[in-house]
Amino acid sequence: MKQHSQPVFWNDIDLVIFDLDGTLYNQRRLRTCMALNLLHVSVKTRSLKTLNVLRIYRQCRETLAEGALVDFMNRQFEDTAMRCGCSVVEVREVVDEWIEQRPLIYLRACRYSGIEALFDALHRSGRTIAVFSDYSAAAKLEALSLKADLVVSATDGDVQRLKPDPAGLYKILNATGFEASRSLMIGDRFDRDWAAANRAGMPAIIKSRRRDPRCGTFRSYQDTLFQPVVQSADTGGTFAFPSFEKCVRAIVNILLRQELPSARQSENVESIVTYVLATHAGMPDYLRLAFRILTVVFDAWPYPATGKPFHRLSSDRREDQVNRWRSSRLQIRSGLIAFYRTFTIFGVYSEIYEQDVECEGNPEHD
Amino acid sequence: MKEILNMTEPVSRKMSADIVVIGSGPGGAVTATLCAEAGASVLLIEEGPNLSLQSVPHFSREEVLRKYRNAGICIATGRSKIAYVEGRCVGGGSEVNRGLYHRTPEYVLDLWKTEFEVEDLSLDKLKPHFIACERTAQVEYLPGDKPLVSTRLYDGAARLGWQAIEAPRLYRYGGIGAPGRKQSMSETFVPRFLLAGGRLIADTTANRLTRASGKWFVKAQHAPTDGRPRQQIEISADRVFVACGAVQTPALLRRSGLKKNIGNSLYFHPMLKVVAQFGEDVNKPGDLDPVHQIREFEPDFGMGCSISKRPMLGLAMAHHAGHFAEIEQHWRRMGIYYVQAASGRATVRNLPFFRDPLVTVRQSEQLLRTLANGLKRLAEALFAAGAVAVYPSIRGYPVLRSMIDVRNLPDMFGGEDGSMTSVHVFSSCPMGENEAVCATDSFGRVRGADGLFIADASLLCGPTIVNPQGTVMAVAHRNATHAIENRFR
Ligand SMILES: Cc1cc2nc3c(=O)[nH]c(=O)nc-3n(C[C@H](O)[C@H](O)[C@H](O)COP(=O)(O)OP(=O)(O)OC[C@H]3O[C@@H](n4cnc5c(N)ncnc54)[C@H](O)[C@@H]3O)c2cc1C
Repeated sequence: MKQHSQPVFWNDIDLVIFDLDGTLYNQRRLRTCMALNLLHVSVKTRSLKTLNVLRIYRQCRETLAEGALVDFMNRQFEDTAMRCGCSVVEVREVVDEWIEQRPLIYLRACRYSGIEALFDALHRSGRTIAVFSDYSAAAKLEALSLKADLVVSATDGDVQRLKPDPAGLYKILNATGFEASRSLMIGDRFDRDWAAANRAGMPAIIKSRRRDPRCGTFRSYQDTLFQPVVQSADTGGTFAFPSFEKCVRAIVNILLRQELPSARQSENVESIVTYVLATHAGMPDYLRLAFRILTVVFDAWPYPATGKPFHRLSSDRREDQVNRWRSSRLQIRSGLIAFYRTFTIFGVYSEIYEQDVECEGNPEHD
Repeated sequence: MKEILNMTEPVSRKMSADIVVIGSGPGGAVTATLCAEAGASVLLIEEGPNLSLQSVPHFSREEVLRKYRNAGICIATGRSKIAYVEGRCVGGGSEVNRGLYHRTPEYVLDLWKTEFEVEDLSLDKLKPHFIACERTAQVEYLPGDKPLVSTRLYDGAARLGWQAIEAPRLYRYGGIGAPGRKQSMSETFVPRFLLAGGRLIADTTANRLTRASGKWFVKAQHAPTDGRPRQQIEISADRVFVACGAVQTPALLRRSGLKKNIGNSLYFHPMLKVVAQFGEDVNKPGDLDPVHQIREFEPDFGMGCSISKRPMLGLAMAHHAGHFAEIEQHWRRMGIYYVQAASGRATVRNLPFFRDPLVTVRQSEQLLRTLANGLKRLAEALFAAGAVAVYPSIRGYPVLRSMIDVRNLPDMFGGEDGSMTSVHVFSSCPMGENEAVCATDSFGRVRGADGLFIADASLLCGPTIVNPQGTVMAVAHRNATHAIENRFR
């Protein structure tokens, strides 16, 4: 098994973001299946209209991605409709059927081998998995029988930008609270996946047969590149030490998830974490030490049951632990969460409504 | 004014002055100004940074991080704890507060006079000092229309036949529509002090006082925020005025070996907050700070209206599920209100190996009942003012929709959840001739420590019931005038 690139330092990676089409399944194989299907339908209906609409629709999306337009959602249908001489509704129907619905049937059969084991190993090692695709991804992921902690699509209301724009990656970083430098993008296109990661300051690896100076490449998920993470998960995962800062970041994340509606969860988590850490650094010295120790204990709490610190657990497990401590009758436990909750709430409201705290008596600030 | 404020003193390892004033809050700034104008060489040292009023937005998290002590987290521990805040910057609490202003009520001064045996203290005797301070730090009533969020409280009280007032503020409004200016110390007394030739060093913490060969030595650490290295300095002076605020003053004195009646009787004005939601808009962006207060139940408890911007609403509503959606939808109809009483007694003690002092408070059952009653009365006033819902900022308390819900509230407040907060601290080193309880004589001279004075809120003999800054300034003015007249003897 030949490896094209330098190894990934998995110990430095907390979050792995996958592209979907062409990365998690063999797109060529799927296209062949779809082409045969389309041919069958065209012969049956004696019309090349569907084929034409799909071809032009893909061309339009490629052009729109270059332009980094915000309103690409409507434009892609309108441009296709104009060039094909049909209505937008017709284009939408064809796209829905041939791009969204029908491929789901064939997806599972086209899934790359080794990907399930990799997802499993990443989950077991406590890393967070996200998927970021230009198309809506949740249904495809389900058809592939893969589970991610977070699925973001370019079509989401708060993204609305195609790769190589990194908006979707920022959303994922904000929602998970991980730093770009501790995340890894895995994709199949240099011009889209690598370029978006590069703009976000995130390392990337690309599935490709050739080496490339821009970043590491790999041919398959059996590649030695992935062996450290797969093997260490088999032998119980890489050991992670409790960490005060990582734990605070993870707590803030869960609290934001609980306190805010989902549309607001991508608020600038990093700035809220920075504020909470600054508040901790400023508190009376005897309390600061006590809170630091208690936070590290909180991080180490799940070791006996899971072998991992809190900050490496899946989001659901983290939420569970936060809830248990929050409702604990032991004041020391509920007090810890109450402290982080108070400052997370003040931090996020201040972030969202920054304009409110401008000058007294200045009506310009609405 | 900005240029004057930047006139800070170059720092060297050994410095000297006739008088050192430690702490530049209202007590320290007034004292330092009078001493400098009397011709003494005065060095004013301040632990916090030297920042203009406009350097950070008022009530922002940046302000809390840069101008508040301990990033806004100070806790008086005990079964019913109090989360309190203090300013930590040139100007102290006056930079971050709202400047709601009152002269001390006569009954409060009478009580201090009889219980603490304070000589020469009455409202008449204090009046010239109030007037003198008000000439520099000006006090005005809000011109034109008052914010609705504020008048609602007044209307509610009027409907119930309760006494309510509009409080003036340490603020120059500058006329309707014109920008105003808060009369904090950095805008008023500190520039006056510098003009009189006083020297100011910020970012400098006094750690200990010692006395040798008839002089005082202040051991301090200068820790500039611009990245320059920290420096240990020693300042010698004939006289020292300690004005570090009611918690830090006893901490510094106790660290310096002075303990008699010091740090044994700290008091707060603990408050409970609620968010009231009205049927129509009351909270407009750009409204000036609210100014109305209900005084019907003083001295047991008072009520008022707080800053009601969305970040504060978020904090105040945090115990109620779905707070985000409620605030997003209804914030213009919402205001934050408080009831405040006088706390139980607290102590200030230094802990070995730590710098920050431990404050421990003991609340009486009586106070917890008073607060519970105050909360009900506040809700009553708000319903009378047209509130459709009242959200207590207390864990486990339900949303109140009518007076029936109000009557079902507990008769005693538990206070374990940390919902009791305070912005007023005082009385940790009371003045007076009653040597059993007082730390200083009637004019702030520390007993048994020649040339050492206290000049801040620590001196007040007990809670002021009303907002305290006016009293802190007037008492500092009175005592500094007395010290100057008596040549600091
Ligand atoms: C948020 C808030 C709102 C308030 N609202 C009002 C209001 O509306 N009306 C009102 O009347 N009052 C109000 N107050 C209270 C009022 O601000 C205080 O009563 C007043 O500031 C007390 O003055 P002081 O001189 O005693 O102490 P402070 O103002 O606390 O000043 C003490 C200064 O000493 C410095 N210091 C402490 N230790 C050292 C050391 N070791 N070395 C050097 N320097 C040191 C501190 O950094 C601080 O700047 C409010 C207070 C706060 C915090």
